[in-house]
Formats: sequence, C-alpha cells, structure tokens
Amino acid sequence: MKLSDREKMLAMAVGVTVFVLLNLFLMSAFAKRNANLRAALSQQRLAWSGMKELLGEKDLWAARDDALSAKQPKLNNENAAGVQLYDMIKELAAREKVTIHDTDLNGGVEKTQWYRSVPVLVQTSSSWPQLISFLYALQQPDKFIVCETVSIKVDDADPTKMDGSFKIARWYQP
Amino acid sequence: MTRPRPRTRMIRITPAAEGWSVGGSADGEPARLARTMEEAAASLPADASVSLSLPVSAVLLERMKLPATDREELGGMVVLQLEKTLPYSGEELTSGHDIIRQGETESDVLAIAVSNEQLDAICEPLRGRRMLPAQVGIYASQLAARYPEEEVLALVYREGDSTVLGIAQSGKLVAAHAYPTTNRTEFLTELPRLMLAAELEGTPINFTKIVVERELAGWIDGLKSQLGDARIDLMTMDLPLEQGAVNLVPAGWTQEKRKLEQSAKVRDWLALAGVIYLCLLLAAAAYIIWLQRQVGQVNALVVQASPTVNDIGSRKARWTALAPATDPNRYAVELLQQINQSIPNEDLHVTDFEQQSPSEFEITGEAPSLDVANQYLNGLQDNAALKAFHITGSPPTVLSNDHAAFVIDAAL
Repeated sequence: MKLSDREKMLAMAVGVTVFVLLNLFLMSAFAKRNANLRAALSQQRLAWSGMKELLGEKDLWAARDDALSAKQPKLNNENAAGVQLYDMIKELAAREKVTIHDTDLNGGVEKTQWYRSVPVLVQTSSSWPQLISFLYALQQPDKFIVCETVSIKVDDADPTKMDGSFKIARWYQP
Repeated sequence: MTRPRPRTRMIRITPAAEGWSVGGSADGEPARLARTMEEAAASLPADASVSLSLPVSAVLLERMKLPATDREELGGMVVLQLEKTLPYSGEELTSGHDIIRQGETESDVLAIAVSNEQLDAICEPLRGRRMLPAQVGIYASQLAARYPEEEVLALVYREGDSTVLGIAQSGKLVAAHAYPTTNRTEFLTELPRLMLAAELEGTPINFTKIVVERELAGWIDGLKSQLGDARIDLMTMDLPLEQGAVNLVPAGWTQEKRKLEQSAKVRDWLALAGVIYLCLLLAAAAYIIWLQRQVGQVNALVVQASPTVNDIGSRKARWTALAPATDPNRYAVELLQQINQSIPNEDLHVTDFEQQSPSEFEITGEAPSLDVANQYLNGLQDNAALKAFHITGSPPTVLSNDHAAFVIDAAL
C-alpha cells in the first residue's frame, strides 16, 4: 500500500510527536531516578564516612569503656551511700574552712541508662578562694562526683563571702 | 556512519538476442545475460552506475533536413518537428539528434525520440532499486560508432525478438529498422522492403561493408545476395561501446535522482542520529546501573559495619553521658575558674552563678560599662576551655550608676 504525501506528512507528524513524548518520558524518568540515586548515594556515603571515623576510634572507645567499667563505683548499699558522700563533703568542707548551713540527704537514688545518682543537697558559706579549694578537692576523676546543680551568690551582708547551694551526687554503675 | 557510496562503476545494459546483456568486457568482466530487466537490475552491484542502451524498437528515428547549423537551434527545430509528427507533447518525450552532415545553411540530422512513459516502463525495475540510468543511448548508434571509417555500413543483429537492419555513414547511424522476427527466411524475405523504405528516405544503400552478428554467420549468403557484394565482417557483440552523441535521460530523472540522493543523505543522517541516540540511551542506562551498584556497594558496607558501629556508638554515648563526672573540663570548679579568668577588668563583678544541670549554666554580673560587659561575653566565647558550650548573652542593661548589668547563658 502506497501512502499519499498528505498521509506521509500525517504519519511523520504522529511519529515525531510520539518520539518527542517518549523522550520526554524517558528524560523525566532518568532525571528522577538519577536524583534519587545520587541523594541515596550521598546519604550512604555520609553515613559511611561517619561510621569509618567511629571504626577508626574503635580501640579508643573500647579502652575508655573498659576504664569506666573498672573505675565507676558500684552501689552496694543505697541507704549508706548518701551518708558516705555527706561525710566526705563535711570532711572536705571542714578542711577548706567552708561552712555548711543546711543539708538534705533524702534525695533518693535517681536511675538513668548510664548511671545511678545518689545526691546530697548542701548550703555553704565561704570566701571565694575557700570555695574554689573545696570544689577542687571534691571533684576528682576517679571519684565520679558531679555537681548536678550549682548556685553561687555574693553574700549581700558581706561581699567577701559567697553563699553556695549545691546538689552534689556520686554516679554509680547502673 | 556509512556515507552513500559514490556510484563510479559504470555498468552497461544492452539489448541482447534473448533479453538484456549486463556488463561485459567494457566493464572488465564477462557479460551476464538476463531474460528480463528485473533480472538485469537484480544482477547489478550496489555501487553501479547504469548506462542503458535502448533497442531500435523502443525509439523513433527520423532523418530530417533542417535549415540551420547551430546545435541548439537544431535541437529546438527537432523538438518542433517531432511534436508535429508524433502523438506526444514535448514533456512526454525525450529527444536528441545526431548531425549526419552539415552544409553552409542546412544540416542533415537523425532525430531520435523516446516516449517517457515507455522509458519509465523499461526502467521500472531499475527505479525500484534506485538505480535509474545515468546515460541512455541507442544500441544501434553505439554499434555504428565502432566503424567510423566505413562510408556506408550495414549492420545486421538481433535485439530480443527482432532483427535489426542498421545503416551508418562514417560511424553515424542514419537509419535503422527492427523487423519482429529472428527467423532467417522471414527476415531475408522482408529485407527488400526495408531497403526500399530506406532508399525512399534518402538513405544510401550502396554498402561498403556489411557487419553481421557472429551468431548470424549462417545468414551471410542470403544477406550478400540482397545487400550487394560488400565486405562481410562478423561482429562480436560483447565489445566496448561509445556512449554516442545522444543521451536520452529525461529531465525528470535528473530531479528524481537528486531527490533520491538527498533522501539517501537524509537517511544516512537519520541513521547516524539513531546510532548516537541509541548510544546516549545505552550510556544513560549504564550510568544508572553504575549508580545503583555504587549505592548497593556503600549500603552493603554500612549494613556490614552497623553492628560494630552501634557497639562503638553505645560506648561513646556512655562516655559522653559520664563526662560531667570524668572530664575535669566539665567540673564546676573548672567552669568557675574559666569564668573568673575571662574577666577583663577588675571592676567587673560576677554576682551570681547558676548551674541547673551539668550541661548548662548562667552567669549574672555587673560591669563598669557596656563595653566591658560585651568584652567579657566575647572573652568567654573565645575561651578554648569553654568551646564545648554555646555561649550567648542578652544585651546588657545600663544601671543608674552607668554600670552595665549582664546575664550570660551557656549550654552544650
């Protein structure tokens, strides 16, 4: 069957239209797929980069974890722990000439994923150097003692004195 | 890309006793016989350019005496004369002429014409293969051109089912008659009438040589008795031919060939574009596959390392959570020390230090001026020991004594 010129033109127009539409579809699908894959690759590479960094520090974190496990104290007696901490605070305060006004040992034991906290609340009065010496003696790396809250104010009556309010806790193994 | 191969190899198709002869010694190879033009077209190589020699039966030959000597002028006169005598218009004919003899004011010419319709019918198989002839000549005229020395020559040979008597003067065909038989007796019986017709047209018949197709050697005695006692020459048909003075390629064919060449070029470009398009599609597909593999490879590494990384992450989180108890930089005493060391002026006093949790604290104080208050904020922000904290301050408030009250917040 032979096509007339008009039929040929129509067939060509239809063919070109279909070809263009097909290409638009293909280009759109390619662009979409390309964007998705590049985003996924970028995300995966970023994740892998962070993971590689952590993997490189594997020995460091293992050593730190071992050190924590070895040094963090275990809580054997919940009732005695608060008293022991208070005794220690009282002894250090006396040595550094820090006056303790008020004390609260009934903070209980606070549990988190990583530690069990036994707090003691104390009110202090001292000069600035005495307070610094007291705190310096109180917090040592192996003691696992943390000042969970601190409030220090200049004494209104005597500007050379500092009034302190502390929630001091020892963090035991969970 | 395959560019259209230039058709430089000329193959001649000539009438033969049983159909058509394709090629031959002129083309450097043995001639192939084809019963029909379809067979002849099918046997042509793809790169061939065709030169077609028409049989006498397909053309009209008419000897004319015209009052002109200029070739173009003669051409115009020939067309006019043919239109008068033939039932065709100028567009339906392709014509040419060969000057036999020229005087001072007049010329003796052989007008040759062929109907375009008939030429198209003969060449339809060639057109179907896009091999329309580049040259169209008259076989009898081309044979006559082999004998330029002969004053009056008689040619006797077969073209299909006909036997031709051609008459030439000095290598130029002046008359030709095809009688539809290849039977010796029938042809010899008809020969006197053909001779008489030629003589009436003014064609000389005192032959100096008679050239006969080699396969018709058995006809020589009869021919000699009718054509006179001239020298006889047996002719091998498969010999090189000249194109002759006339080329009967219709004007429409030239345009058609140009169109065919253009469409061949367009097809070639489209083919090239198609190849490039396919290459691009393949490249795009390959790129997507490569990208997918990259994602898969990195994902496999992530999945493989995940248990170990989770374990390390857990240890790191434990260390970070216990940092207020283990890292001296996070101790209250260290924070107070840094806060104290950052004071730029002895007249600046920190009046209040509040730490609501190990991860945040607030400083309240009074500075002798706004500048000193801001200087203190900047000093804390630049303090390397406090770099873990994000330190901000609201604009200081100017007091009645021109001092500046400030509040600075810090959080991890």
